[in-house]
Amino acid sequence: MTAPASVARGGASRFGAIGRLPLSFILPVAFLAVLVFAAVFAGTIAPYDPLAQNPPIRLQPPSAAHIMGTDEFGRDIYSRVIYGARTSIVVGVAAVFFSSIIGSAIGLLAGYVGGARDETAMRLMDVVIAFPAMVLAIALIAAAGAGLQNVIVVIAIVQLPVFARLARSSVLAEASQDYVTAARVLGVRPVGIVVRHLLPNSIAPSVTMVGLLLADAILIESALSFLGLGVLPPTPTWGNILSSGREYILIGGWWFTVFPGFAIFLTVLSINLLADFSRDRLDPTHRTATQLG
Amino acid sequence: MLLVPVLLGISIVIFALIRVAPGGPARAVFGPTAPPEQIERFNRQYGLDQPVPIQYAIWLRGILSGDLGTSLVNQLPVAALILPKILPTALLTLMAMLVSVPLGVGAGVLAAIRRGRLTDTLSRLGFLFGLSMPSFWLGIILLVVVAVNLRLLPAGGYVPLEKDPIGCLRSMVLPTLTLAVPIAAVLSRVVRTAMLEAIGEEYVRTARSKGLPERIVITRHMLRNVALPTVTTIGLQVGYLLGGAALIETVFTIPGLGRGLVDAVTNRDYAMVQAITLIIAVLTVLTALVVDLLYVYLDPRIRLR
Repeated sequence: MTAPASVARGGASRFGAIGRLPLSFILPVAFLAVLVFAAVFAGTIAPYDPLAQNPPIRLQPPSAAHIMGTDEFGRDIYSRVIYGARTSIVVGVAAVFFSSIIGSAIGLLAGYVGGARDETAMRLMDVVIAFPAMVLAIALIAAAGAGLQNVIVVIAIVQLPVFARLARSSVLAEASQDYVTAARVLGVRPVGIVVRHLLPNSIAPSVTMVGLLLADAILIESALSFLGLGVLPPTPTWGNILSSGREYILIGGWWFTVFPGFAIFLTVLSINLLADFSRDRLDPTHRTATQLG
Repeated sequence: MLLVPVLLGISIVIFALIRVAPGGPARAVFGPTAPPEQIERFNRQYGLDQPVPIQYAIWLRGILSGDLGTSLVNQLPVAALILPKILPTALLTLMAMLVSVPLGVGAGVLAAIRRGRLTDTLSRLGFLFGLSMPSFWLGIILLVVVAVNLRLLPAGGYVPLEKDPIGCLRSMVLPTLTLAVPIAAVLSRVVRTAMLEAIGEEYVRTARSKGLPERIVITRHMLRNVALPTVTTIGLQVGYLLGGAALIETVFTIPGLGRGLVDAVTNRDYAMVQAITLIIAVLTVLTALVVDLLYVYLDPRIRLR
């Protein structure tokens, strides 16, 4: 690594030089970069139309023309996996975006306002969290129906309490600080205090959580699609490609189960590795604990 | 967590579920083009023409007296349909628990004792893999490799326990393993952290300086410290187990509660969806209560307070 010394030193002050970053950081970043690139430019990268049926070449094992083989309608699985990345990323990012914004808003306001409204909001979150995530997701799909938008909303609802509780606890910790009292004495309105003072201080703990819940959202989406309750065919998702492959795996059609499965696994693994890494780096208390331990 | 308000909240959420279905359950069952008379008859039959608070009161009274409603698909009582589904799911989750606890605790203890060495790294890798692997995918792979290719175990299906206990256990091996892997992964991490905390404690130093063999220090002193976070984690994972059962039972075609829930959603059998969701949610809440009570037993300090 022949980076200029100044750059290396500048980086080392907080995150360490690029050259010293561990493989467990570089590999997931590289994989996710490729994945996002493929999802955005799916139309250019995918060799075939993911929906184009071609019965004469149905159920073909991987070959030079179709590197991940073809499915029961002769569709190219590699192209479908690439478009599936788009679905997974859209659902994951959108769900976590809504749950973090709305959940944090609920937590911040409840924690700041306190009293009966806080109590009501938090008991409501208790009820949501009392359901196992997967079961609540399935039950909500039963009410709302399957489909891309509903899957996003359902996952956002399931994850709401996590952000609400997190934001509320950091508000309770911050609200008694002198600078908040000072702002209140100066006549800053409650909403102003929440937005200008409490929000910035509650963001740090949410960062790692965003990563973990993104991984979780992708797993829930693929599970719902696998059960036929998520994003519906013919739109390709990793979960529903896997699901259609189930019928053929017993007669030797391993390829449309193995490849989308690996896509889910590597994506979730990469996000988990990065969340692990950011927790080690961003949270000083955790860092000491791991270094001592 | 306050038990009664949460249980009431759960019942309201589940009750509300089918009311928010677009056009109500009748439209969902018969489709958008069904004649109004058919919709009306259906609504009258299921009490859906009553005011909503009264519907809720009737529904709740039914549940409290063991009447879970009538299946919208075949008009049979839901309770009778659900009863035979409980045993397979109970077996699956209990066995998964029995496998994952020793596996997770063992891996966590080993990782802590051999901190920074190969065992620790392997356990960390195992944790990340177990956490990131979609369970239904792992299930399919195991099914193909162990059951279809090696022919060591049956490829899915459920053998009733009362008919053939050995066959039943054999049919549950792969589903159990699949469900246990992520739980063991999470547990191993929790146990490792708790062990590392214990290593730094004064009482461990005291025990060592008394000249106790390391084996005794670990089993008598450190493992006790690990019990509390382990029990908490197991309690939290019960919800995951019951949710995961929906996927695992689908992969291995086990006629349990999870598979029943998925089928009910697919068939738009709202009474079944409500009943199974209710049972699972109540089980999860009750487990949390049991964990709270176990605390008192495991940690004498709580009793003193």
